[in-house]
Amino acid sequence: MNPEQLDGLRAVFRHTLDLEAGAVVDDLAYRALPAWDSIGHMRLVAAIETAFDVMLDTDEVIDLSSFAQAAAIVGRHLGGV
Amino acid sequence: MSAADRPALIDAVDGRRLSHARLAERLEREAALWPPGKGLALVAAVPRLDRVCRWLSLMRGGHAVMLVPPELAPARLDRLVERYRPDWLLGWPLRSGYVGLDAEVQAVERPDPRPLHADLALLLSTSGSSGAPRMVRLSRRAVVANATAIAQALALTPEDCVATTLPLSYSYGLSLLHSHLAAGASVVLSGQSVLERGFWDMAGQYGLTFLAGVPFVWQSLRRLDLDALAPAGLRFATQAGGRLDPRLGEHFHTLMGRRGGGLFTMYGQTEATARMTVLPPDQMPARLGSVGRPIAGGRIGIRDGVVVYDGDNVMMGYAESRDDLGRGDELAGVLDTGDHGRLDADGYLWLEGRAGRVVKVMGLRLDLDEVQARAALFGSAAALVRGDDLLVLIAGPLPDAAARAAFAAELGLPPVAVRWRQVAAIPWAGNGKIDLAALDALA
Repeated sequence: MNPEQLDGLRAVFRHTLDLEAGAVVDDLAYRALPAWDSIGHMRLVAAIETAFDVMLDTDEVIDLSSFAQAAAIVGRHLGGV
Repeated sequence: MSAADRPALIDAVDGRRLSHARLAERLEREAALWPPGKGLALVAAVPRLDRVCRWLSLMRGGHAVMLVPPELAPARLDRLVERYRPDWLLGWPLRSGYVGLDAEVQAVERPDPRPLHADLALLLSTSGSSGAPRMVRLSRRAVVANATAIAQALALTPEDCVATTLPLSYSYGLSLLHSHLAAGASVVLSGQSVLERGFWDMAGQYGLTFLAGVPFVWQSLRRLDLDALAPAGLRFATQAGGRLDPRLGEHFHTLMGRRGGGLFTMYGQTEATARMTVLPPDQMPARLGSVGRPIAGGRIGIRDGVVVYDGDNVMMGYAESRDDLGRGDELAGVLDTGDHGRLDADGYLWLEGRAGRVVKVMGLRLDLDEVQARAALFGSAAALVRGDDLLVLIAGPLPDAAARAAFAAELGLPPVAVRWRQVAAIPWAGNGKIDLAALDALA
């Protein structure tokens, strides 16, 4: 992902998980904060799909266990590095 | 392998197993270690083997156990301790007035003299919304009756295996543990959700046969390829904890049907320990949408359109504080559920919504009037349910993120399950309800 796309992904995480505008999200992982539970997870998936116009498959949904994983998954869809 | 050698409990974190025979020995031994005289333990219901054994040993020893979520907000824990004056705290940070017995258990320095009723075994919360930490009082007889009846209704065998996909402080989650143990089946203690790869690795490793969910779980799994994720032996699904869209019920029944099993649709309340009725797969899809017939030993009647249940699993009554823990059975086995419903000619129950403004969000029962009263701290407020979320309307500026998070935590909900919207004025209809059409016009 390019820096602009990464920033977009950070914004998706902050918005979906109800974090402050400047919150650091790069080291976030599933269940590391109360908002990222199973409901938060499905919201993240939906928000990522909308923001990047991608469709995540089963493996991607259950592997999306951290911000880094999300960046890797979205990066693959966008065809960049 | 003989039935007694089959695993009763499996800890998914470290892989430790305890057979039914070893579990029985351990509970017997540990029950004798607790001091004589009935006590109350406030337990963080962590799904780990040692923790579960400890609270089961307390129950075996005739003590009373209050199970609460391990992530309980500190202010709510404080309130529970003040209200109920537990004799032991299990799994909480050391607090003043208590002395540590070991790494997990602390005992109160000055035990409360107010007595605990001889029959009291278990205290569970009905709702996260209650300002007063109201609990349901359950006798050992009710817990055993419900576990046995559920095992029978699900036709559980020692070959069955379920994972704790729901919190053990939640009546439905706890019923998985009790009913599978009663049937000689296995319970995998896991804190993972069905949306994590680790859960499915574990499901294959231990050979799950049952998957327990609430409507949100099925909604989430609908967009995944459950057939690809689930091990071959996983062939039964149980649904409870709120109304499931019949299309989802049909989908998962068909999916499990192809694997030789099907969907059990269940209905219950914490006030009835856990379950009251079960619709077995052999009634699907003919009775899709019904919640089934009463479990063994239960009866359902309809009084003025409201479901009334009668059975051994009905609670002794509610508790608001330690004062109430000396009280005996106040319901005589009869529970007015507050749910509207009808029985068909064959005795199958069809629910038609709840009386009053009590709703379910994430399996938690919330009284919208109470939620509204709390939100009024932030200005003129209204509360309603939209989709799966609680929606709070405020006529004025919204509270900041920290206040919103605290508000959600007070209700026992994750912050994302509470949506906020600022409106110019609350669109009340004449009947005291929110004018939904006017609300949509505001948005």
